[in-house]
Amino acid sequence: MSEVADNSTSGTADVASSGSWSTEATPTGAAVLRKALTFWLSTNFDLSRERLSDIALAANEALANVVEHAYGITEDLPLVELDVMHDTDSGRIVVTVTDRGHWRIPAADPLHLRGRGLPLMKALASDVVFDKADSGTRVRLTWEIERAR
Amino acid sequence: MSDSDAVSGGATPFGSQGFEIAVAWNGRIVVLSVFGSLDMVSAPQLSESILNALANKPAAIIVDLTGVEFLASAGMTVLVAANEQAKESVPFGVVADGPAIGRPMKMVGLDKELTMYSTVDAALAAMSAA
Repeated sequence: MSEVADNSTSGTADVASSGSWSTEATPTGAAVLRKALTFWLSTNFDLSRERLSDIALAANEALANVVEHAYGITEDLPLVELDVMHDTDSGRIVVTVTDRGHWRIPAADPLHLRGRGLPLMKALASDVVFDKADSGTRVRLTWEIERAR
Repeated sequence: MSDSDAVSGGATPFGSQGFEIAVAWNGRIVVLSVFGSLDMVSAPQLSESILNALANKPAAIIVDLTGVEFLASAGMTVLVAANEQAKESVPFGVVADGPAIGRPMKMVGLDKELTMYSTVDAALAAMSAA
């Protein structure tokens, strides 16, 4: 059973509210974080169904990349962290997915059957930024949002 | 084979609760109706269901996504792979309606790669006539 650490806060409209969760980088862990994010967004913001599902899907794809690529077989307890932050000044929602692994080289895919995660993230979010270092990788997804609850 | 066989799965505590694939035969055309979230957790089950359906030598295979509430790229990969594998011998169609599923598929051009229908009836009509 995956344990999920929840470090979320929520605030008034004047305070930037944030959510933060971490769990093992497994398919089930990724699904749990996606659902936690979706629930947190729907209770803190007045987003359209479309916007909500865009954010959930983009976050899911970033998480899926970590599950598939980020850790070698020697790692035990590989973790993935999902953070979300609403910046009330800029009106942006920023979702960040962080891992501390070394990304494996992806398996050959000559028929292009895989690899839709990145095009999806780019189509769904206003901005996608990758930060790769030896210590790990961070993906930052941004949406322009006007109103909070 | 004319019965509906429900294949339930994904009953993990935190995984895809409510994920289910119902298999129904319309003559020699098999319809796989998917319910719930189609993501990394549940995609392997759909893959297996499609393989099982193909093993029964259908005249055509339809994957119905109208009950799917969330479609991740892992699910899209299964559909594309199945389409590649099936189309050599068996017509393969996907039913998807509405923004939750259709929009992400269009974003990555899946509506052009796959043969899409907006209802199961439309898919059956088209594939029965072929």
